[in-house]
Amino acid sequence: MLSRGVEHSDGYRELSNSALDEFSTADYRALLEVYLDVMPKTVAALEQACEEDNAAKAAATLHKLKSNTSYICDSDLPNCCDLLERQLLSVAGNDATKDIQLIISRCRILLDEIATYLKS
Amino acid sequence: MDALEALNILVIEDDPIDLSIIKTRLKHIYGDRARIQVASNYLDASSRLRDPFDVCLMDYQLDFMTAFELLKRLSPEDLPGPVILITGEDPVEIESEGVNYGVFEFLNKSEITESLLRRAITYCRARHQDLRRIAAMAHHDQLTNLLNRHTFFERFQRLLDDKFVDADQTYLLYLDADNFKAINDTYGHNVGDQVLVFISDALKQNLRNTDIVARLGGDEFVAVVQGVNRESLPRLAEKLMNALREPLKIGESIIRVSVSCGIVRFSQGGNCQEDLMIMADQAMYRAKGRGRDNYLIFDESMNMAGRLKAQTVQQLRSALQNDEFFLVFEPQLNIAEQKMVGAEALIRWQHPLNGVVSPSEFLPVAESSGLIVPIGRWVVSRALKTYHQWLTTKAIPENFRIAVNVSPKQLLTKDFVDLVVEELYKLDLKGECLQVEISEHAMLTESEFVNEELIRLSKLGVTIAIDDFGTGYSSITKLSEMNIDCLKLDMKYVSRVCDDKHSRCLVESFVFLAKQFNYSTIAEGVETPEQEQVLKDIGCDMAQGWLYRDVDLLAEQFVGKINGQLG
Repeated sequence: MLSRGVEHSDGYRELSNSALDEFSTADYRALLEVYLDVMPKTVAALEQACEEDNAAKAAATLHKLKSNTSYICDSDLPNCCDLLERQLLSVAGNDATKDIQLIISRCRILLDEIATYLKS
Repeated sequence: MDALEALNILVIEDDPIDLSIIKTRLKHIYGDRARIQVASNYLDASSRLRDPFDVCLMDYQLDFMTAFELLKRLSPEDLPGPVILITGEDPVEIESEGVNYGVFEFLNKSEITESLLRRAITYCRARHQDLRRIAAMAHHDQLTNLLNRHTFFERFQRLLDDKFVDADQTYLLYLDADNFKAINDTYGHNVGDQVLVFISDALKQNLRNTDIVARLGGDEFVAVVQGVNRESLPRLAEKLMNALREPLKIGESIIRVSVSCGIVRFSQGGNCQEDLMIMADQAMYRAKGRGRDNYLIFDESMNMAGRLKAQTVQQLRSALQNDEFFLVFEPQLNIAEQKMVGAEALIRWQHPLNGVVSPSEFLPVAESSGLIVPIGRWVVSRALKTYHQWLTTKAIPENFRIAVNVSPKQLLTKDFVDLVVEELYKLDLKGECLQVEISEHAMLTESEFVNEELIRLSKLGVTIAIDDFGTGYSSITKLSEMNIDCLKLDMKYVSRVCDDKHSRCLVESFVFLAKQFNYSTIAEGVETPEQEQVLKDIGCDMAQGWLYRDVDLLAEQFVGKINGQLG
């Protein structure tokens, strides 16, 4: 099977997961198309929640991202989403803007990697 | 399960990525055999869960609600297939709650593989089918396959508790076959059973799958229909009545079946189960009073009587809580030996304002509202406790027996026998100390199921007496088939045994019949020594009535009476 990850020059990559090994390449590519369609909207929703300082909405969106990324990431991205979701739900008034921005950046990297992979 | 059969899979998932992954996996596992239906919002899911499916894969979080909020609006028995919950949470945290709503398996999204999913689906389907078979037996009436009484009241209450149910568009229909007893008497019970099946089929065919239809027992049926407005209700009722008027051909006979039906809107009864039952029952009796074979919708003119009945129901409920009931005991005498051999426990109600209320005033209300079941339980429990007290203080002779009246509704609850077992066990008493009295009418209308329960009681040593014998047109064949020990001759005949030739002749026949079947006999309502003498001459075994007590005897007064006799 071809490598399903896109490795950066420093060796770091988001897109790489063995959980979907049972998917054929065609199915995997079709799935990534869905990611490209859906995930930017989820990332935008997280961004908006952050701007509105809406912790509940941010937590719900992180919950979704945790689930979505867990299928295609071996990195700690899903785990970070999970931790941040819990933190937002349990600690009131905590400024999580920086952490959310970091997650958003990582999701964008993931989306870039997906796009690159699909072009290959 | 056929490995090649098509599989209807309902996927309830609002996340396109999760949905895409599930669908791909299902396609891998089942190929073209998988017929996947998708619901991606709450409303769609709510409706699709009622349509047939073989298995449902459901995301725990849907829109802004959880799966449980959706599932608890449905009864687990209403779900056509098993539900597998797919969650991003730790399943352990929600497992215990989920099983109450028909969830068979919990899978963590991040841990799902194709083989795990396949195994889960196969296992859940097999378990669901097993449970379905068991549930069908437990929740349905064996003859008609409609819901049984117990399950009906459970679902009825669930609807009443559901805030999404529109009480203005939901109706309770209470149906009772007209002249059913005459059909039974004329054509026999097999035909009677076929008539009941005919009625149940007509109800099923003319009501929707989502309506609740049940046989309460005997020839009584109920249905709860939803989403019906006031204008279309008469059309629905007419449609039902017309379907039931169709002539029924059984063998060479053409039988015309008709029913009377009382209808009440949920909002009329203030969403109270007992009040609604009473109102529908009243409307049904009014319909019968107007010549049968019609329906009547409950209206304000019936309200006064309804309110009075509802008030009595409320008071009876408080009476149970406040311990306002008490028992009195009627001695039962062995005529030949002139010895007290038993006591019949009779319930009385010490009303806080109205004084002692006679059972004839409150038992019919208790019976129609279903409160007879807890009241009956109280009677059995208190009677046995009293018996135990008499026994431990050596107030009663050996082989003394206490008798209680049992309503067929109590026997239909199925846990009556369990209650008897529990009480006997708790007090360390033998079943032989208890006699259960059941009316002749009840024996006839509920014979099959009642007999099963009576057999269970007999195995405990409990004796069974038919109360008011001679008033219910028992068939001799039926009598011989039932599991009974004693006939209680109705006071109507006993009171005239000295001066009415026909009454004496009937009592003689009853006693003769009882002896042939090896049943004992008790004459009820004996008032004079002359009546007692005639009964003794006829060979009647026991007697009870005003001759043996001047007043209602409380437990301690009864002991005094026995001591007097023994002394």
